[in-house]
Amino acid sequence: MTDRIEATLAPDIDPAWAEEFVLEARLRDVPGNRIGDALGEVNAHCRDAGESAAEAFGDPIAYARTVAAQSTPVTVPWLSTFGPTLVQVVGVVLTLSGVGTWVTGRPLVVTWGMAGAIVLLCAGVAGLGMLLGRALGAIVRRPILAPIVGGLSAAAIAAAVFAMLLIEAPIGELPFALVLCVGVAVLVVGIAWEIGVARSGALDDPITAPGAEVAPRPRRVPWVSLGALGWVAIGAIVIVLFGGR
Amino acid sequence: MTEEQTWPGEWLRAVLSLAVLRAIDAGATYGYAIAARLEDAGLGAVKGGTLYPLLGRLEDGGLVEAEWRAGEGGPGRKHYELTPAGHWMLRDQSARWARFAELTRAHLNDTTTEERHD
Repeated sequence: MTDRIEATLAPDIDPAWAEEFVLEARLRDVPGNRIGDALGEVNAHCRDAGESAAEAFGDPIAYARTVAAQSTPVTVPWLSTFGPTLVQVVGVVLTLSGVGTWVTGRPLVVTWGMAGAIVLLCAGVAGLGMLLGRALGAIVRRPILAPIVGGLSAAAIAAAVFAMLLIEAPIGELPFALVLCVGVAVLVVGIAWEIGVARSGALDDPITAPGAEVAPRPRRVPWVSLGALGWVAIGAIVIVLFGGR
Repeated sequence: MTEEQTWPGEWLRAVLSLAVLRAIDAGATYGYAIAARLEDAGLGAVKGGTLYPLLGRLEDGGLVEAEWRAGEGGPGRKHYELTPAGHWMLRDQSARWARFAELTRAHLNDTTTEERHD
């Protein structure tokens, strides 16, 4: 993806230099239009001077840091980033609990363990997302770290959630229809929120050519939303097949 | 590079903003032309990594205005122009710099003369 951007905005300089510059600028939250502007300046100067980007501008990472120091960083909208996913996780858990109570024919006994597990799951997903966001620079430059850090953290969260579920002290009982309806409603809210965020472009910050207007984005449905429905379908099939009355 | 063009970096840093404003006022409107003008003036080769962040600061400070103009069949160039505040700054700072240089020269010559008497 970045190859095309660099070839368009800076065709006269070393693509490897441009790639390192863009990567570091992105990691330092330099706005996309400022990255395009700086890359255009580098390209024009090198073309006019007949110098390489490394000769004229030095190390791409150091130059990206200089540009970042002069830019107002893009703020990451944490709520829009993680909110929809967390709501969908809660929706999936509630919906599958509703399916489970329907299959067994018994009302859902809500335990303190369940309530704690949902809170723990949400906190874990948000915490992991923020951790990966902060460690992005290290992870991007050492790709082996991503599966290790991500995998171990996810395993720790899963283990904590399962441990929490062992607490069986009941809070109360809920009929399956109520659990199922609330679960589906929460899931729909989560998916609608995610589609709304994607359509609003709140998370978009494209690298644009200097002086160019940002092209209107095609209206699209994020396919990732359908992932939650997929998990519900798979979970429901498993529960119906193996959790029969 | 001649001896004249290897000025100490801290001298150049002190005068570079003013020299860039002057280069733009003299008709060098884009980055490379500004660098070439400074080199022709005997101030030495200013690298892109120094020049463009400085131009960015001048733009942020409202002393220059920048505009991208399309190139022929490829990416264009960013052209700079002094704002009224930039013109004022150039006049004011040039006069003060001339006075400063005069005092510095007088001071250095005085010292040399006194040392000669010792």
